[in-house]
Amino acid sequence: MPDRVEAMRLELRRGVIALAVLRVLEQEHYGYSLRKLLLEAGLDIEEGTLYPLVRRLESHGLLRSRWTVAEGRRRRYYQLSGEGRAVVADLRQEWQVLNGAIACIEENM
Amino acid sequence: MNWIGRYVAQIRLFLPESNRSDVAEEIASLLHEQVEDRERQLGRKLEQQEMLELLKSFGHPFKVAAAYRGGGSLISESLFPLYALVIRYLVIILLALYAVSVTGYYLSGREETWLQFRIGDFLDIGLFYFALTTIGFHLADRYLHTRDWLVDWDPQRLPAENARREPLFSSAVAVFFLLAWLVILSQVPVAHSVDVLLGEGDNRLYTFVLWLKLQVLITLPVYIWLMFQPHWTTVKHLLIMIADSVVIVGALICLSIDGDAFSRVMTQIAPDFQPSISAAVLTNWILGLWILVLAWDVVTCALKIRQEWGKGMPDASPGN
Repeated sequence: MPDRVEAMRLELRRGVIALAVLRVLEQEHYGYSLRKLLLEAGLDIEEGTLYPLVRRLESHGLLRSRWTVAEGRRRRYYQLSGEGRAVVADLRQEWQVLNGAIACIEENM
Repeated sequence: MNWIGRYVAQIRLFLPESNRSDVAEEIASLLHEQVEDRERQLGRKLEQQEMLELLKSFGHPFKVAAAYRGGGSLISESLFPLYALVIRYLVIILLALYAVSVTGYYLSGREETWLQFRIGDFLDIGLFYFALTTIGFHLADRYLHTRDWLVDWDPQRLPAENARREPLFSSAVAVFFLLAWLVILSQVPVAHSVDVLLGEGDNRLYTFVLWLKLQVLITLPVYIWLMFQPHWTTVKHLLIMIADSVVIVGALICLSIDGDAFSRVMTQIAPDFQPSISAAVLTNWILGLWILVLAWDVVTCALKIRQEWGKGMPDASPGN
């Protein structure tokens, strides 16, 4: 794939992945379980992209996290914060607008 | 061999100190989870090659660390066009300064210096201002909330579509000649004092040179400004009017000075100079002509300002 197209594809995915991550983290997950859930949903996201993204979302105050011991291993669990819930609601609305617009354009083509 | 430990240790090197341990521990934990999951699926321990492939798929340590650091940039995308413009003009101004300096050295007969002046000095100065500009933009970007400024703007303050614009070439040439003029004026060994400025030194040349320097110091920034914002505005016209008026005042003061004093000074500067009554008369004529030309420029600027106000676009500059 030419670099330019690849760059556009990545740009398109970036926002969608953030929305998907936030949506999944309405329930508490640790990094690996989050990745598996997204993979099951059809979103194959590289670990080197996903885990730093989760950290960034946390640093923006959209997620909160805690270390805990589960199944004999220390894990860092993430979940949406109050602010994150409001942002997810906004983003979902935006997503529906975009989706509707694209569907409308497709119909008229 | 503890491949995960080795891999995470390499990532740690590039992580910010503030959360280095925390992130490293999390990455190690995630990798162990992944390995255990794979081993559960396979029903056996991972072989070395499988382990190495797993690490490779996680990403190069440098890339992973970079992703955790975030993609901060020195100059933001929104400010970059202005930064690029400033750097471009900086290069033009430095080249002009360099050309003026080299010419000055050459004309003054200091061959030993002009030949070497000095590509090295020029690069030093260039790199210094490049670094200074970059740091300045970076700090402005970081602390002056430039994004707010780019969002909160008023379309009414944009330059009028038909505002008179100075071509870049013309502004650059003006800057070049003003700098050259400043270098020439600086060759006159005049003391920078209020006494000389007010003509109390009985020295027409020295007094006039000081007023001319003042004019250059006011005019030069206007033309540098025009290189960045090429439209003429009321403020720019006013500055040119002030610069012209400065020289008119200087010329009038000079006219009040005894013309013979000029001849005496010239004799000191150039021993071959033949003082005569006609020299005093000649300088009177030159000063008078100078006053007329500048007065005409002041009137022209005033008419342009009136014209702009008449069009209902008193001032188009966002910075004014």
